[in-house]
Amino acid sequence: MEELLSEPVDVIATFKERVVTPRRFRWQGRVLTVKTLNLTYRVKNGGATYRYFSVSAPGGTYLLRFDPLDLSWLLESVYPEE
Amino acid sequence: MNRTILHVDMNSYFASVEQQANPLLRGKAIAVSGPGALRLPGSTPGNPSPRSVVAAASIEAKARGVKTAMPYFMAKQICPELIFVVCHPERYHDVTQRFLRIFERYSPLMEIFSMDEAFLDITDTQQYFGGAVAVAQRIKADLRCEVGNWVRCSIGIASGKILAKLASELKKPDGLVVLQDKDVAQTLAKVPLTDLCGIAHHTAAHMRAVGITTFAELAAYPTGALKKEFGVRGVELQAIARGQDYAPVVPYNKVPPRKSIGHAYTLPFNSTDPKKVLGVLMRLCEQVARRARDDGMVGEQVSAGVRFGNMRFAYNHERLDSFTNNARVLYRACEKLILPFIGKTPVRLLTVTLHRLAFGKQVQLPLWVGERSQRQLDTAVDEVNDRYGEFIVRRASLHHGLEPRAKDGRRSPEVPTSRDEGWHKQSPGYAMNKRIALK
Ligand SMILES: [Mg+2]
Repeated sequence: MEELLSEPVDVIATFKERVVTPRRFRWQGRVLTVKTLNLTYRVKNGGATYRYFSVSAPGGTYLLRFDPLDLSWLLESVYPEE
Repeated sequence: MNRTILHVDMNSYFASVEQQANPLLRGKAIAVSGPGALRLPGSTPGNPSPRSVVAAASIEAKARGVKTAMPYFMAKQICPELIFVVCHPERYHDVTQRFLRIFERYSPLMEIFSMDEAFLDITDTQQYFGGAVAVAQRIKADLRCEVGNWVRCSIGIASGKILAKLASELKKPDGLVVLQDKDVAQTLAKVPLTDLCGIAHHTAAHMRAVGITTFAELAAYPTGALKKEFGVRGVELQAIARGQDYAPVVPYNKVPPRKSIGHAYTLPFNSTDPKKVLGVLMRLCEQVARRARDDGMVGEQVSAGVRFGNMRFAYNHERLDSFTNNARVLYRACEKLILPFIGKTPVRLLTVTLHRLAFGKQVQLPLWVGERSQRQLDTAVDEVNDRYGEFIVRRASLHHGLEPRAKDGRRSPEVPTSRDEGWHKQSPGYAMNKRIALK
């Protein structure tokens, strides 16, 4: 089941041809490497447009949120592997 | 001239998007439902209440017999391994925008039919892409590449919209069916009347009553008698049964302005408490007014409805003194309209609708200073909320007793079924819905 977190996380991402892609992130003291990028989408919230990245990494499926206004990353939720 | 119309229908759309986002759900029977399902009585962490319904089922769940709008407990009975997934409306909304943009590459004549369906008139553009089938294959390839390979669609190609829609339904998932004019009669002979978009079960029953049980019988029925029984719609359906499907594809930017703006809300618990019910009513009025202002519309008539716990429905409407898109004016009228219904029978659902719409610019400015400042206040509040998120600035009366906003200011989830708890938009034509119209 999806666990809602909304925790700020450190992310290593690449910016290439106006496309941002998260590569690694640190969560609970571990550095997790993104295996696959499953779905990206945007959500408008007032004046901000968040970029969402649903990624597979060791332990499960993670939903990362990038706010281009303040360059912050948030781990929104995790869906752990059984 | 013979037209070429494409109907694209995303397969098990919401569930497929969830499986695209989360590979751990792929190949599994999943049911998508509103977050409200986890707050209803009888729910446990991760397991929705028996009162909730399946808003969308995955292809795997459908293969096991799970259907949309089926109560969750029933779905779980026929498919015990069913996994419950909370919906992410903002996901579907963005993915819809993306696939509509893909479709539009192949023809400017694109009609948005629903959140996961569209028509494309490619009569004049198919030649640039190598024909109709090539267009369909390119759309599928673009979807795989740009959205993800788990989000698939069925495409039907025919000389009209209804026939193309019928063709897309013939093969699911990931179908591509061409329905040639010469094969229409043969194909229609194989399907029940209700397979045609526009023939609901009650229409089919009515047709049975006059002796029409097949498309051949519909095609052969005397037109005059058909018109008497079923009106113009009957004649249109007969034309389609004869393979004459001429309705034009109406591009999303040419859709006529809507006739009403409505919202509905299903309470998490049935209630007789006027304070609770009126609190919801106020918020509904805010939402309707806000949508009217977003679209630059004002309305002259308001209606409010109540569905009780026993599913009975009561409804009242009133002509307003002047055109408005102000929530307080709507609320004052609606309060009067529904107060007689509150107190005895528990209320399950509320609706508020603004009718007799006109463009705001065509309507005279209010004469009274009070009304004018009300309008300026609305504009200022809208500007703040546009910038910082919906309901950041709101009436104090909305502060208490209402459900908390989703975490980090996400929009209140709009659940794609009217049976689940949550906010629902009422307008049936999604194409008229600004949020889904291509931006
Ligand atoms: Mg569909």
